[in-house]
Amino acid sequence: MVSVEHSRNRRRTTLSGRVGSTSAPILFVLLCAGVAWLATGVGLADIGLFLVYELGFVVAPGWIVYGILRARSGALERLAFGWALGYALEIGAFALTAALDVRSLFFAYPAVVGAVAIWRRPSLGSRSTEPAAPDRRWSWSVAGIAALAVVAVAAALFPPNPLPGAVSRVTYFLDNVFQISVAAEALHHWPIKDPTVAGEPLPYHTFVHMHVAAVAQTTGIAVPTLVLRLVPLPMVALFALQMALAGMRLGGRRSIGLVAALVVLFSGEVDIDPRDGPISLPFLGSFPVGLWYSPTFLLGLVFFVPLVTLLIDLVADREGRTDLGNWTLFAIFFAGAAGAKAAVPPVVIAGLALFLLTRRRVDRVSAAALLLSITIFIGFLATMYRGGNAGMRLDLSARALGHASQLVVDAPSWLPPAPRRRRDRGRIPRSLRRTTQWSRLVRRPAFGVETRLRTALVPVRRWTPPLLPDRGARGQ
Amino acid sequence: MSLFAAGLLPYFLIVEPGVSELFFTQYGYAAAVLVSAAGIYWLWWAFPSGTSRGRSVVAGFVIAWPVTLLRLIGVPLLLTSSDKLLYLVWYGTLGLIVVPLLAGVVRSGPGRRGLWVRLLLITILGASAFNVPLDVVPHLVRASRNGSLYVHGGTGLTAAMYRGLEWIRQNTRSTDVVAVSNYSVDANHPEYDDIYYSAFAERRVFLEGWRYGMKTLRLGPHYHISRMNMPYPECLRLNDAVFQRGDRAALRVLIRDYGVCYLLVDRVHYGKTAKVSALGRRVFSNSDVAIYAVRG
Repeated sequence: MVSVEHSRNRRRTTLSGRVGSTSAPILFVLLCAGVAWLATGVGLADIGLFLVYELGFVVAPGWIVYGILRARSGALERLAFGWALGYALEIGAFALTAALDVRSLFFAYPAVVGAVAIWRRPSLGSRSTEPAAPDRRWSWSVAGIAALAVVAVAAALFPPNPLPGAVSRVTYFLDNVFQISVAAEALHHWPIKDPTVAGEPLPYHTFVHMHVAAVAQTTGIAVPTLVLRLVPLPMVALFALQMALAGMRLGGRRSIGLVAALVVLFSGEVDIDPRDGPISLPFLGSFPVGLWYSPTFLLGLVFFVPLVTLLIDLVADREGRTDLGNWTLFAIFFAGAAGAKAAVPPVVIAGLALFLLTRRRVDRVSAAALLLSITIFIGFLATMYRGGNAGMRLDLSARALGHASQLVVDAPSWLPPAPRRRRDRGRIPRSLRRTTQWSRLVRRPAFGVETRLRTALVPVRRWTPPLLPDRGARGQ
Repeated sequence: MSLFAAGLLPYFLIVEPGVSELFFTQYGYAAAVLVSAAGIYWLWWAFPSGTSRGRSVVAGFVIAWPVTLLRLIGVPLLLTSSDKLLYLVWYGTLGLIVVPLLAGVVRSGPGRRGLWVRLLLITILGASAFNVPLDVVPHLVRASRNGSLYVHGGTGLTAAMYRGLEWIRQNTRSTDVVAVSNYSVDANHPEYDDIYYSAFAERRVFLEGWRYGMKTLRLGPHYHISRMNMPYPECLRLNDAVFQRGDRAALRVLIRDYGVCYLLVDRVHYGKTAKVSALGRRVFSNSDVAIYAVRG
């Protein structure tokens, strides 16, 4: 009797420990986001409505369906990747109801998923190959990283973008206005067209705009509040969690997951010039900038990380994971990524092809993954992108050696002029001779790196976020 | 790593307006980080941590390096504004720190290699971690001080203009189309970038700033935007006819073919009510905006 009582107590303690080890860190991240929202003009009612929506229309459906499709997944995986699945399902439900002109039925979407849950009864990690709950220290470390990322994004995005009507005048970064405009279009019209030139088609990746429209339609929260405040923060926190989980899965150690999340969120190119803003070559520092200024990029990341993890499970690590559920998940994540950001499918398809090439043998699973990816991509090319290439041009000498080449191109102005005659060569110090020859080479009009670099930077300088103007350039 | 390699290709081969080709690289980068995280972890732990003195050195360096780096960045800025000198000092000093550490890693014996590896990792990752804070924080502080945090490059959206757009959102049907008198946020430097009307009124606009129009983007990264070579010339002609000449025939086309129901005159950026007031019934007006119903 004493033994049974002891066992019950132990079970209760373990359960409460598990709940405590995951829910308290989540609440901590939520608290950070909540404070950031409240401090920058979002009403308490809007925050409450948004969180209820996020839970009922995104996280819970994703959790349930992920559990059905991948029964062996642990709680952490179901949260991190199921949440992303929830975005895909919610966007799909919104698009379907909008296309059929029965938008009011979207309210019933959580109920439909609930009915599926009752029918299929997904078990919470009963066959999981992973621990049901991560250890306390790891959970808090991930929460710390996610909270820091949330605060950083809020600090960079919120102050320069006051909510409309809150200040006497404001100039927004043009991309943000465009996102609001397309989200408003998705809220009121179907199919989505270009709202800035009435009647023109909009061959563009619009999943994030559909998500914003779905929240606005259901909760009544204003579109600018969603785009400029509410929507990005949960995605940033989710991305941090996904990177930690994916790093842990791939590296085989929990600490590796933490390193992955830290590196991707907080390290960039070694650019220590504080005057430039993040537009310095070679990579323009645009990874972190994308987190707060490109919701399409951010949603693309949220689909990309589970997609990569699943791809590795399918292609590299068999272990019986090539069942229909995993293929379904792969297809959904790929479609989600394709609809969120058109840059994802080419990277995944070319990466898979490269993987097959380097292996020098075609195995059934890799070829199937490639074929499925290409099929979905073609579907998106035909329906969503419709030939739109956003002005992309092939340019073989596009950016040559990035920042390094620019430094070399700039170098000639610091150096003594190149000699005009062969006999003058002796006057140039031997140490400078090679540099000067190189500088003459790169200055030849046919090479044109300098011109290309400067031309490439014109749009960046024009459209640089107001937060991060480069020296001497006029902000947007 | 295949994904990373695939993501790098567009960086070298493609040019896109707004340098959007970098997004390919960023996704490849995210995939590469998953691999490099394991590399960083194993580098850190692959060699013995050494003595307790070695561990103290590492702990001290974790604190000292960011402080040193900030000094290294800040002090030269007080002395000179010359790019070449600053880059020479900044990156030269970084090199002077990294090279000996690298030499230490290569030359030291197995017992002490761990210490050198850790110092090298802290140096490089620490420097790369400063990228974004150095980009963002100084500007935030500077812009807050001089009052340009969210007001720059033109007038943008005024409170009165927002009230006008809010009126449209609340009092018109979502299918109504609005025609507007202005295309640019900054009247002095027109960049045809004013798309605030469709964003905050939540209605389709007959023609506003066309910088982000799909036909504009299709013209490629080297296209120089102007009125002369804009990709929607017929729309521009009709819109100008209505707002600049009060042309009733043009207005009839707007109503019949494009479903325009309201004319919006932007008094802040560009637009005068004189030519438009006779074309419709004024339904909203304030210091910054006047709205006319032209249908029903």
